[in-house]
Order: sequence, then C-alpha cells, then structure tokens
Amino acid sequence: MDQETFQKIRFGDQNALAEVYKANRDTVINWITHKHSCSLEEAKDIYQDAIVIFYNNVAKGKISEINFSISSYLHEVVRRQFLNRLKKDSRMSRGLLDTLKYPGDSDNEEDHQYEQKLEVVHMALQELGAACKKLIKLKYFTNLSMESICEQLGYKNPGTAKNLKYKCMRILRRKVNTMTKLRMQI
Amino acid sequence: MHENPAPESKYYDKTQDANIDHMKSEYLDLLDVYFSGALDEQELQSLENQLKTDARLEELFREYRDLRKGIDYSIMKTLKEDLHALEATLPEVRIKSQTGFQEEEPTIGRRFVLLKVAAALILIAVSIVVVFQLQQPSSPQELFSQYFEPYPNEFVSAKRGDDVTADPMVQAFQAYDSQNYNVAIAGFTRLLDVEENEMVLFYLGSAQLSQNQSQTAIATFERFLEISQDYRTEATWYLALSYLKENRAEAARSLLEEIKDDQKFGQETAKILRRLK
Repeated sequence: MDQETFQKIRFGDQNALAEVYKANRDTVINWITHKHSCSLEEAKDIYQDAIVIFYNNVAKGKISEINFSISSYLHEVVRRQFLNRLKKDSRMSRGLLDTLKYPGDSDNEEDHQYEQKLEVVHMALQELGAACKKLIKLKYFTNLSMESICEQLGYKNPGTAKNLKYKCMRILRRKVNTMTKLRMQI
Repeated sequence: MHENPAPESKYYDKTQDANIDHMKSEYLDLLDVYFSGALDEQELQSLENQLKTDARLEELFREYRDLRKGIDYSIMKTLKEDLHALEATLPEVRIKSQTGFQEEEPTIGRRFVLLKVAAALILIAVSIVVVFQLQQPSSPQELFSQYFEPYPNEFVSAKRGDDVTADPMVQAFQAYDSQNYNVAIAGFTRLLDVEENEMVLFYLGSAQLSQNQSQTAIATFERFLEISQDYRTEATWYLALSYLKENRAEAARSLLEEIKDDQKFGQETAKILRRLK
C-alpha cells in the first residue's frame, strides 16, 4: 500500500479503507473458513473485525505503512482475534472490546455494565454536530496534533480548534450525563 | 467532621461540582498528553501523586478516561456497521477448494478440447508408469524423497510486488516462498526467539525438512504438536516424513496409522504404509 493511501486511511477516508477491504476480502475470508472451519457469515464478521482493528491501529499511528503488507497483517490480526474470541453476539465482539485498553483499566471494567457505559457515549456522539464529530475523531481517535487538525479541517489557527475541542467535549459530556440519568430512571 | 476550605486547584474549580464543565482547560490538555503517552517521567509521577491524594481530581480523570474510551468504541462500532453495509453490496465471496487453495478451474472453450484430450492421454500414460513404480516396496528414505513437498505458504501473503521490506515475518515467508529455505529458517528462528508462534514453528519445520535437517525438524514438529490445536494432521504427516528421512520406519508407521483416515493425507498415507519395507 502506498504512503498516500495510508495517509488517507489515517485521516478517515472511508473510500480508501473500503478499497483495502475489497482487495483482501476473498483471500482472507477463504483463509479463515479453511483454517478455522467456520461458516462464511462468521468468517465475514471476523474479517470485518480485523479491518476495524487495522483501521484503529493505522489511525492511532501504532503501525506505519513501511512495516508490513496489509494481507499479512490482517492474517495475524485474525489469528489473534480467534484466540481472544470468547463470545459472539449482537454486541461488539470481545476481540474489538479488547482493543479498548486504557491506562488504569481494571478487569471488572470489561463487564456488560461497562459496555453499556460505552454505548451511552456512542449514542451521545451521534447527536453531536458534524464539526464536533470530525474534530473529536481526529483529536481523540487519530491522536492528531491541533496543528494537523487545523490543516485538515481548515481552521484559521490552532487556538480556534482548541477552543472548539473544549466546547465539543463539554457538550458530549453533558449529553452523556443526561442519557445516563435517563437510563437509570427507566 | 468539619472540612477545611479546599485549597485552590490549578486543574478544576473547587467551588463547583466535580465534572468536566469545571475542569480547567490545562487539566484537559494534560490528560490529552497523558493518554497519548507523551508525558515525561516527571510529569507522569506528578500527575499520579495528585490523583492519589485528590479524590475529585481522580473522579474527573476517570470520567474523562471513560469518555475517551467511549469515543474509541463509538468510532469502531460505526465502522463495523459501515463495513457490514459495504459487504451487503459486494458479490458473494468465492470459497476456493480446501486443498492447497487452488483457484477453481476456469471454463475452457471448445478449441481447447483437443488439447485437453491429448493432455489426458499423456497423463494416463505417465500415471501407469508411476503407479507401477509406486507398487514397489521402497526404503523409508526413498519414500521420503517421493512424498515430501514443503507445505504451501497459507499463512502470510508475501508477494514480491508488495511494498514490504521491513517486517521480519514477511521477509521470512518471502524467503520460504522463493524456496530460499536457509534464509527462511534463520528468519523463522529469529521470530521464535522473540515470541513463540505456532504457525512460524510449523513452517520452520517444513523449511528444515526441505533442507534435509530431519533431526531438527522432528524436534520442531514435536514442539508444534505439544502447543497447537490447529494443523495437527499436517504436522503429524511431516513428523512421519521426518522419521522416514531418518530411516526410522516404525516411528513413521505409527504416526501414519494415526492419520490414514484423514481426507487430505489418507490416500498418500495408505500408499506409504503399503510400500514401507
């Protein structure tokens, strides 16, 4: 994969990621069904998880273009996914949840209740405006500097982007709190 | 118990409730640096000490961490949903034959029919000779030479056209694919020094056997069978071949008995068992 595509994926270009998905789909899904004797639908699901993990690692700068070929990387992700795949249901798979490790996490935070907490943030984020969503994604998911965010989103200066960041996080936090309270009342 | 008025904090407004609304932007920035892993040792120590002694600060820290984690969760979940939708628009995946991952045979036009017939006749003639030869009893080492083939690389796609040079695993598999087995052995060994990996172990054994290093291949496949739940039949087959190479017919025979009913190796196993002197 060339550097340009890599950068596109890093900055959230869905089309570039879709191309990667399509280019490796047949090979990896075939490999999964062969190696793990699972159904086609299950293999697709596992492949999609692997692409999500790939994107997560590219966006967060954990891997760089020069260090691997995508197909070999996806094979390895799937292999590890299988080792961690303890359950599969309508919620996000364990393998994906396992990638959400933060400093200071304890084991009991991996339970269903904690996932509910994350689900509330997900719903609150959906309600934010497009500008906030983009900025939060680039700042917190992609870990870009405020200067790069400025460049990506066309703000005049990093100060503007920074103020927007504070504002967006406050709005998000308020929405999360409101939704959490509502859920507790039900 | 009467509480003393809280000293001024540089991180939040102590006269207000503990929440991000009253978190000072300096603290938000500090946490951003913390979660990006860029705090230096001194700053990290200082933050951790404050978290231990200031319960409200710790509460803000937790809330902010959960929020960030929720953001990651949300973006990943949304992408998963998008991929699911994309999948629905694509033509169905073609599942290929399980043996060797060969592409399905393409449709051949009429003008190739004669060619096919000629090829079939040659194949029949060759088969008769081969079958005749295969009926003869052979020494274990002869059987090894006839039946051994390195296992095809199904693990790492390492085409030369890829923009890959730095990943040691890809390099090792590229060497394997190019039948440069000594380089592959060195590469696999270095990988295993860092971390035990079942599939690397399996291909190391196959590469070793390709270089007639049957004794080391025996140790490699035995280790593989100790730790792996996958590719067990394949590893048993190669372990049996390693014993044939070592002229240890009985050890090979008992392993081949284990896999003689296997779909993939059963036929060849049965032939070897018949011809083993």
